[in-house]
Amino acid sequence: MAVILENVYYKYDVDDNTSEEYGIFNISMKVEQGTTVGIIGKTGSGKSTLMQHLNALYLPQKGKLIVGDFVIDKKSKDLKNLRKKVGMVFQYPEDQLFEETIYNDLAFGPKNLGLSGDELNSAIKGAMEDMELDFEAMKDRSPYELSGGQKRKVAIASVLAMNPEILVLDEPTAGLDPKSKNDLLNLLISIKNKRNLTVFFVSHNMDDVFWLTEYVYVMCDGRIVLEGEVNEVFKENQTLKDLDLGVPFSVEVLEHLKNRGIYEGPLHPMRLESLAALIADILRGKND
Amino acid sequence: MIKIIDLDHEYRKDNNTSIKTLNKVNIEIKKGEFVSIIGHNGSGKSTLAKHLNGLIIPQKGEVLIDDIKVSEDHNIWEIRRKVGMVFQNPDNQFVGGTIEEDMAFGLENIGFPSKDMMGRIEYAANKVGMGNFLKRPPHKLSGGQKQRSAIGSVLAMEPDYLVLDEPTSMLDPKGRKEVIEVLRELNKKDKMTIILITHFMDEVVYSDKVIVMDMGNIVLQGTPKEVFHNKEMLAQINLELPKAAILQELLKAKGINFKDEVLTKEDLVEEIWQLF
Repeated sequence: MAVILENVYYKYDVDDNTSEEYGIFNISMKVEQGTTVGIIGKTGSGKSTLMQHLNALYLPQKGKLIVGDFVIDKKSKDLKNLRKKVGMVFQYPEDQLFEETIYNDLAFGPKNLGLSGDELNSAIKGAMEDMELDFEAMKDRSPYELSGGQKRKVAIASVLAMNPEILVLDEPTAGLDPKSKNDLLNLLISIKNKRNLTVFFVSHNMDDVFWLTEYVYVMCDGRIVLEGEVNEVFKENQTLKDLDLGVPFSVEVLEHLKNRGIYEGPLHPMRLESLAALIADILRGKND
Repeated sequence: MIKIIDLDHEYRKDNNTSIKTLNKVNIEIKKGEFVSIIGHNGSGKSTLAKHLNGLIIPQKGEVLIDDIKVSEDHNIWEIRRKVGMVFQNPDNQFVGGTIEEDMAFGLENIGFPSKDMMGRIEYAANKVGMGNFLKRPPHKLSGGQKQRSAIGSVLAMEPDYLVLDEPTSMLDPKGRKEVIEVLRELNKKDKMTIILITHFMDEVVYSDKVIVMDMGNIVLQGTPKEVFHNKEMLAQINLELPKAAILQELLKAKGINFKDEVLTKEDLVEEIWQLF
């Protein structure tokens, strides 16, 4: 599903009625089916407000969103079918587990959307298999017995059980140890490819954003202040720093090397392996 | 000094099984030390931390805060005054309508004289760089500011020890940096004892001591350099090295020989510069 936003505007009610300090203001985006886009910005920049428009938890006060065949504006109604298509994984999604068994937890969403019988069963089974959770062994267990990482997987599976076409991931790895974090991100990448999902990835970790996404939107004070292909955006070293955002580790290292006069090239983000190769070449004097 | 002696903890899963989350843990933390505790999810870090101010009472073994036993009920208020705790989510820790009210809440609870209260609040707020924000409501603060205020509210109680359980995991990069800087400052200037539980390997490189936990056991303990030198052990328990150390390992694999092992990008660049 493609997603188009046209001048989406949502202002929170605050004491001062004229203030455009809290909310999102005139956001336009065009996201092709099957892409992974990154949304970055410091706390309070409007990322979550924006994401909550994608499945119409908030309706825009001005402007509109076109999500697949759905048009969402301030008058939209009957959004159940849209909500089936847009899966939201919020921060610490395991806090939302509540049923006695993992099966029931996964069934809750799809049942509400009208699934039953074999259809329901296969949606749940498919979601658990995609999250590498053993269906037979785990379906009757309590979600509360699981480790933090496993709980997180169950919570994400309960979103996938609704067979969404768009997946919104808001800091999906917050609080996980490095190994669990990398495993989960690898898993999400393979699910994205298998299910051909359009993914919105919200994160404070610039290295993860660089790894996962193709296109990045940078938000500040409810506005998009920078956007572009991931490589282009992370070249804007100073802009990102001015916005209180980090840059990928590779860019930081290259910047240090540049300041020392060891490196003269551009400050491109890259994976650690490529960075090691580049530095090794410099030290061997092959860099020219 | 905090002494943890042969501390065991298990919780009952059902009638037949119980799971051991701490297994004969022994730790000594001296006044003024900056100690980091790392380990993967479920390794027992948080369970350990909750013992330090009696949120969990020892089932077996003992925790001594300046020789006061956590296991004895009547000590609990004394222990909680000595050991301040800060948790992950700043939004769950605010009780007041403004920073000032939030800081006053704890002080009122311990019957702190109201005539001295404002002075104490200003002192604590200044320590965390929030002195100019006392009248601000929490929703008008960034994540880093909220978490620094939470630290300030704890400091207002003048604890002897500060325990922080993943205080930066919900913050943006700037917020993370702010919180870590405040902690380093408190440790250096005020000799505050800091016990920091974290998943971010880059945050532990500045501590005096790193404790590595796995399945309820302490598996490594030492200075950051000593601990991160045990690369095989860390890999076995699925812990990563700080990024600069990973990069140095990749460079070593390419035949580059370094004088010293590094943990920060600044030190790595220094090493590279010397080879250049």
